[in-house]
Amino acid sequence: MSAAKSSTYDYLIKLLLIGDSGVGKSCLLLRFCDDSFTPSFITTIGIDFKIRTIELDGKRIKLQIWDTAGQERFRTITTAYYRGAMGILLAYDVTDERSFKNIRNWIKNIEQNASQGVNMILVGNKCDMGDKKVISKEQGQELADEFGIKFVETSAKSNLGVEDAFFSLARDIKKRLIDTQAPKEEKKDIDLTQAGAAKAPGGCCN
Amino acid sequence: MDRSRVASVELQDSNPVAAATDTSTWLHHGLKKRRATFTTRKPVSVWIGTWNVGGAIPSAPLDHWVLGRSLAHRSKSKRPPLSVSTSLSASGASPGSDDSPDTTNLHDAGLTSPLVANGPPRLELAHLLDGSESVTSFESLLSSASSLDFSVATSDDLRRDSLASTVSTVSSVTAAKPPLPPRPPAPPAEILAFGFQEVDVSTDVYFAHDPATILDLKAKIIDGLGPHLEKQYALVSIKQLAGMIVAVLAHESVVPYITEVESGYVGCGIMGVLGNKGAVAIRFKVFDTRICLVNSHLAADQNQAERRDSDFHEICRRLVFKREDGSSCQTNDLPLLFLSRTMVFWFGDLNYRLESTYNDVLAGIKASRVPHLLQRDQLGHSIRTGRAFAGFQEAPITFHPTYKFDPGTNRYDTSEKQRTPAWCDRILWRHPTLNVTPVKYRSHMRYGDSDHKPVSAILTVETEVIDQDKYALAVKEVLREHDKWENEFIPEASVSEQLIDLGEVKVLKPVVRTVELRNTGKIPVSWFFASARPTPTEDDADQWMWTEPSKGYLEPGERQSITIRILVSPVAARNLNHAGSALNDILILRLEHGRDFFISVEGRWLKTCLAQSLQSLCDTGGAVRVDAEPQNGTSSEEPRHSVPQELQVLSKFILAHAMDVPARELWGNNGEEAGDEAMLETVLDSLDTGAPLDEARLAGTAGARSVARVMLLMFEYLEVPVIPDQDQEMFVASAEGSPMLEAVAHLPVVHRATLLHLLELCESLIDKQGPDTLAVLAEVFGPLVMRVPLPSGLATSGSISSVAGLNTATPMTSPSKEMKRYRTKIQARQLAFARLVQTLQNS
Repeated sequence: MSAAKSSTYDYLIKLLLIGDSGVGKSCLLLRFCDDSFTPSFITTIGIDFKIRTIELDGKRIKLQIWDTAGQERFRTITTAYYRGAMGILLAYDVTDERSFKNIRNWIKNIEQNASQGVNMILVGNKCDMGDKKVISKEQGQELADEFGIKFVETSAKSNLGVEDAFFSLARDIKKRLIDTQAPKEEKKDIDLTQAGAAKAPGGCCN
Repeated sequence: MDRSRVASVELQDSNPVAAATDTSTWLHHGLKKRRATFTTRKPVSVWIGTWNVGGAIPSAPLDHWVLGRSLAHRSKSKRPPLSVSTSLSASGASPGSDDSPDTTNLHDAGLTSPLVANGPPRLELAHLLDGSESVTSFESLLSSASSLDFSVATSDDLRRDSLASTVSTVSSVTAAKPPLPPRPPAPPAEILAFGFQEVDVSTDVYFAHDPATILDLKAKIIDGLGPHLEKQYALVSIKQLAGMIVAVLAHESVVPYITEVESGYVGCGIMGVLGNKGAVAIRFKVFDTRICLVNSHLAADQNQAERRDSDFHEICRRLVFKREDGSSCQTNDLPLLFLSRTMVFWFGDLNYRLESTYNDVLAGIKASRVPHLLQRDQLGHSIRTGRAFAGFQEAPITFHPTYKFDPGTNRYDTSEKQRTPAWCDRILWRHPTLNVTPVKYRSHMRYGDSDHKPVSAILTVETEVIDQDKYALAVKEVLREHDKWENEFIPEASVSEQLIDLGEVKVLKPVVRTVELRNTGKIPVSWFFASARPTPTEDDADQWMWTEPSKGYLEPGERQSITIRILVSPVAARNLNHAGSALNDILILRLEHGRDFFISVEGRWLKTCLAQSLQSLCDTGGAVRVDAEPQNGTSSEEPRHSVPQELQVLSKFILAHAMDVPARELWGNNGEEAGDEAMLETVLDSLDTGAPLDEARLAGTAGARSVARVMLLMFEYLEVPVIPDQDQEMFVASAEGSPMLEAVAHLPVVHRATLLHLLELCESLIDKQGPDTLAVLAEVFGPLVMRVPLPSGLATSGSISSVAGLNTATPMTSPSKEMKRYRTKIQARQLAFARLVQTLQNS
């Protein structure tokens, strides 16, 4: 570390939250970044982000987490943003079977639109709603295993597993992109704000 | 002395805290604010001694200087043969000297202050370790003895030793001197710092140290500690610059907490660089506080106070440190002395004198008027005026001047020079926040080796200990706080509509909607529309939506109305006609460095007869918006109409109502009048829904012009021109009469029928208005039935101004080659059309 460092972080990692409308993507973001929860449902119309700086193994990592509109009609547009993401949280609602079944479609979308090797984690949200739960932890794990990705059950409301989900993903990305880098190279960022459709900045992290 | 142990201390990993505090200001600031949450303060006792030994390693043992007493093992050794100066004998030894009788000051007011000038050394140690600031009585000391906490030293031996010695001392006071068995001495302090000046005054030393000097001095120090204490101390470092030597020893209780040992030196004597004057320094961390010990010898002579001030600044400026183990020193580029958190101790023969005369000073000494004499102290003056040593502190001086004595005596200079006695030898410290409490500050009159007397101080120094877990927590808190700021200052806005319903959308019928954007964030916002389409261009003929403005800037709280204009040109209509009834798009409104809004624009597209193909119009058999009834069995035959019904309706209207409107006025594009757009819509609606034209509404020239314009639009935007591209050259080349008829016969049936239908209309118009009309009609219809693509760069834009006009009207300031060729083609088609009309007229 040099004494003259002026930045607040060593690395910038961009994450993307995707999944059906209403599974709680915005709530997960709010819980992780603001440590708050709101029970009212406000549909995300567009794509929004918050940041949180974490420390992993002494490295200060700024997570920029993008929350996407889950509605079907925005599907084509949101896929345009996939390329800029280094990690993706795939969320479903454990009380909504449809959202769980749709995970396969989301993964298909990721395969078609995201950067090669993007890290993923499957997140079963609303696990606090025991009586209404229709997707078991085993089912979630099984699906995650099928695609070879990690799995966490979360509750943004009760603050269960949320930190775990984001940290686990961030750690995987750090392992893939940062730990393998030449030590000199610091400050990798991928600018998702400019991702639109034309830019393909994902290449710099490979 | 255990060197290996010290070496391992130095190799310890650097504290992560040090690295963290070097990062950016915000973290530094955040941690500074929280410092109390993750640090505790731990007192460390420091003994500092300074002695200008006057050219040689002193012969007398150092025990009195360091321990304040004679070691038991040499208790019978003779004292240095001091011949006490007669001038001083009246008042005895100086009050601050360790040679004054213990009882002299025992009941002085001075005893209640932390700066106990005298008293049994062990008592002082216990007092020091107890951490209490003052000792008011032996009883209180005794009562606190049970709770004595040797907070730094963990050695049980030491604890017992200090406790036992305290008790025994107390008993020795109360129990009228029974003969004491010799007890091993207690450690004077946890850190011992020795500053020697003029150990070697030979000129050789400027070029090379005699390694024996350091070895001898080390042996001397060890000897001074005695066999009992020697085992408890390790040498942290010893450094020499010419005659100056600084040595630091640490007690085993703090050795594990000493890290990052560094040293440096500055010579500022002869030529401004040689080491006869200057400083030699050792710096290290104890727990999490950096301590810097500077032993310096400043310029001599009564009149050189300014030079001494400048020596001080020179040393500050030039003193840089190197890590002793050769590992990288994070801050080695900085003149570190004044890093804000470093605890600096500056001692040595600072050489500041008294602004007085020999006789006055001697008189003052004789009268024990130390405070009075100190008013004339040059160093005090420099500190007070900020000329040097600004911010440094010193314990109150209670001892007599330590310079200049006739060597081997306690007699001030009796030589003919008669130098004015002065407090040349001093011990100062500086730290902005941590406290240093002086316990002792005294001279040692018994040493006669030099013209200076040694001086020593015992100080209780606050150091900081960082709790790593709490530190991590504080870092996390600072990060969270910082993130909170950052999240709060992400550009934010709200849009009034996220779904814009356009209702029914027709060709050439403008729709206008507005969306309000409001900056709801805390910082100004730059916004713009990003397109979901890969490469949107201005010339995109398919475009049917425009935003106005398409970018902007809003201060917090400001609002902006954004107009969204919809206008479907016939070209754009072509795609929509194929796509079905939904009209959908999503606008992406992007806040720079912030979020994107998706604004859905939805409408119901009403099909139009414009931009269709003749074939499909005929196949539909009715109006385009009326669902065609399935006509079984007729699909392969000729369509019911061989001329599109819409064209028939239009020409019928013209024949019935517009025959008197001059052709140039009817077909020409000479300015649009108010109401034209509405009438145009009426005509198109009637055609597209199959309703009859509203003759009453369309009465008059304006109505006739609208009908004519729709006809022109129909021809202009046909998917395939009436005379398809591949057949056009044939018509251009054919002469009037039978070649022309042959060409016509060549056309597909629907195209042929439509062409003949148009020609008949033209014939009727010429019949009615005279042969001059032919030129006008040829000019208008020639380039429409035989459409020529515009030269590149002049492609029809989707805007309303050009769609309803005639292609030939495009003005050009400097016609290019391409443009000339285009004009030639147009003219050829106009002529060909004229020949077509004439052929029909003559047949």
